[in-house]
Amino acid sequence: MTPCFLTVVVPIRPGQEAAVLAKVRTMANPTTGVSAAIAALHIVHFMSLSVIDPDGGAPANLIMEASVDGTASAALKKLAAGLKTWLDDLLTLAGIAPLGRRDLAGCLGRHSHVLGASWASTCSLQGALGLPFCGSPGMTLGRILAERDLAARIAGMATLLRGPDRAWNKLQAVRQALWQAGDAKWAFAPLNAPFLGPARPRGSLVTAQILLAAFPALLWPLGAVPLLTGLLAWSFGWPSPVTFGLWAVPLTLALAAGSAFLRLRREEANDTPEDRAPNPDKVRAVMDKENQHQLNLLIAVTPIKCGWFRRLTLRGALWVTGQALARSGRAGFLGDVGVVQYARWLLLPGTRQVVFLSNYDGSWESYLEDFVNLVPYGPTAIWSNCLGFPRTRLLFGAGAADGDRFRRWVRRHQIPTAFWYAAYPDLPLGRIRTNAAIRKGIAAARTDTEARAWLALFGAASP
Amino acid sequence: MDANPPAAELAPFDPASLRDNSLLARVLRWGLDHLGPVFAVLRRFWPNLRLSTLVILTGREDVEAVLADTEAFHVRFGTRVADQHPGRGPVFGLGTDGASYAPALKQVSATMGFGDLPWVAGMLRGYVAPQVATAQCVDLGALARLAQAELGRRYLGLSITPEVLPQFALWCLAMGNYAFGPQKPGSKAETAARGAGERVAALMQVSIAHARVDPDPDMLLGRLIAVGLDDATIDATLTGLLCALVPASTLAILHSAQVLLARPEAMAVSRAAALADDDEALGRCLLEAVRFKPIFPGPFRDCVMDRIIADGTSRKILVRAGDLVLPATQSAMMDRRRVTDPGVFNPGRPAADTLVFGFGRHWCFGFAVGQIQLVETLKPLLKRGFSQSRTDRADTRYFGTVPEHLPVQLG
Repeated sequence: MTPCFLTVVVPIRPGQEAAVLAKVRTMANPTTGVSAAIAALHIVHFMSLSVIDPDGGAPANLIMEASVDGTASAALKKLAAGLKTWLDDLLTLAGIAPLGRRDLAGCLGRHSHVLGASWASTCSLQGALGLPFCGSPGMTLGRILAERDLAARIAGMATLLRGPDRAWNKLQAVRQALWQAGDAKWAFAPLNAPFLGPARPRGSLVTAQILLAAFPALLWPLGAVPLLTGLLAWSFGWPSPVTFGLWAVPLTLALAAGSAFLRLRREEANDTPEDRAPNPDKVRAVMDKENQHQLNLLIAVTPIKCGWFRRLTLRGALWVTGQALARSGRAGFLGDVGVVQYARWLLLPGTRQVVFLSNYDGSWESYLEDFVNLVPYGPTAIWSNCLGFPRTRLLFGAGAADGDRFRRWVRRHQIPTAFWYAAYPDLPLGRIRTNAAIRKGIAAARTDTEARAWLALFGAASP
Repeated sequence: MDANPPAAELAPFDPASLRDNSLLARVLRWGLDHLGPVFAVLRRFWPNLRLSTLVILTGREDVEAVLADTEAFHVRFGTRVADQHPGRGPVFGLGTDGASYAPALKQVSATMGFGDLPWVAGMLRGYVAPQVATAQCVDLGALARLAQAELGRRYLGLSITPEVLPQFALWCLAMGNYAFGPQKPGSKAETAARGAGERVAALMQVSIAHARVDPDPDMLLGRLIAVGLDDATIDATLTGLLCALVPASTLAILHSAQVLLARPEAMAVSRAAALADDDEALGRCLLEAVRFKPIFPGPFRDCVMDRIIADGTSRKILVRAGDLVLPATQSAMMDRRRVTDPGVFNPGRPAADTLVFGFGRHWCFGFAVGQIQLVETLKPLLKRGFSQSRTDRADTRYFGTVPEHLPVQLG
């Protein structure tokens, strides 16, 4: 099942920001039952509510983001039905007239955005420039929880897993025990787990594929130049207007690439990295919400640099990153980083604010460390379009690799988590992958070698 | 102690009614054999199609969504099996979506385990191998059908005399033909299934009575008695299992053989696995062959509450309570958005690509036995090599949708 990234952005009536934020914080209190109501829907992996400060003339925004199973409209209907009271209150506080939200799901739908980076995906009212990422593709909530319980159940069969018997016999004994229990037939049905597959190749072929895909997604407006050249040649009666047009294609591309390069280098040379220390009170507020579970939520709001050029490079960076993740490397990994469960980048419509929301495993420090050491070019390409980011080279270079500055910069732009729901807050991705491999072994292991590999998932060896 | 069912007072069973060789029947069979291109067009241009109260879903995502949603889409198998001898007890729990499903799954799982598989393999090997050891040609239709019927007789522990076995096999096919099909009550298929069902029910009564006196704990019937089930529940359980064990497996075996005959590359790989006695590889080959010609286009479901499928997409369709839904697993297994190179015969493809055993809660309970039935029935033939002349192909005759007579040349 394709994961669905619900992103609802509701503008808040000026003056109501504090009231909305207070309400959101109230919802985080377990006694209100909001989390229980979300859990009862059985489709939500993660959900958060945040209030983003006003930006220039634009009002503050309430962002409701959720990572759910199924389609957006079905999920919105379920959320609207399950959280009606709370969402009604929130929208009232935000200044949405009751008439406008008679149909709550429809009202949320009108404020929801589909994230994408191609021109086509952002040309509609519902489109927004952004990039979603899922670390457990193909895994529904029900499956993640069922496989967690299955793994715990098998780990409890210590007498079957240990001992001198052959791995195959042990696997068969576990299968027999599960089968005879009569409630685990589902585990024997093989299901796809894309993140257990081999890494897709990286290299020049993938680069060529991405470049080719860029024409219909991003570069097609440049086609106007050769077209106009051809038309001009034809209208002036020059010979071979088609040849003129065709010659104009590489010339246009070269011109565009050259001027973009020069502009980018000039801007990068003039960039001033911020070296201010983060506000200690803000940092304390953020850290108060961290490390309560094995999973955490990071919310960072960063202002994009002025001018159309940086919006263009942000679009390009988001698109290229999305394409690289979709076409190469291991599914569910950000390069070599395998701790991000669900994340999204989003340029808030009508503002200059780039919002990053990430549900990740482990501590903030180790998360940022992974970015600095393993894939600095990804966040660099996207965040380098924002003010104060460490100095970059050709969009992808340097930047986040300047670890200390990068960490300080992220901390400065983080906002505290006001409301966060996680269906499995203590189940890191590594464990989800192991659990999926355990189920895969039950369903599909056919040889002694596969059985030995399966047994090793429990730390048990076998002859 | 064996017994035959009493012939009197049973609804008529006319096998000829399912041996329809009219032009219309042949055209329909041809159509069923060539659904692939139709599904390909539907997947591309009209993935979710409504024809009056029949809704056909062809995309992998939507097929899986329907099969996973047991709240709104109910399996028909249990009630269709019960239709065949109404009023005789509970519905086969594994073939329902009601409260009886979970307890039935526990009961049957506890009595039918992986420990039985070597016995099943040995039994089939002992039955099939001698019949193809020296023969020049065999009727694969009869061989597959009788081998599965014999397996049903012995594994379930039914009291059937050898001379009744061929009829028993046809009864099972008739029951399966209706249980898995879309035919309505009152149709020829239903009439034949009812006649067959009553005969099987009579057999069950006799078998259960015998087993109560002299239970054999090695057979399923003896085990079900040992766990304390009443006669009616045992009857429903065994009848349900029989409807899958014999007809579904027979059809899968014959379809697999037909695919191998039509695809030389598939035949070569399968034969190599058989000659190497690599049952695991052969199992993968034969399952891959069934992917090209599964036992049905898909498992029908009854919609019991309104549902919107693929909401928010261009495929969106409202399925109303009372609609009959065909989640076309045959089409879903060829959906290139989810299956790599679906048209290529690739026994090494991920097991999750295939929906031969279904999807979701009603994923085939007998998957392990089913694989052994495929391997052990076809391996002796593959070891010798088998082919089919044009005359043989023209001589193929059907019983419902199952090839009843499928001559092949050996060696």
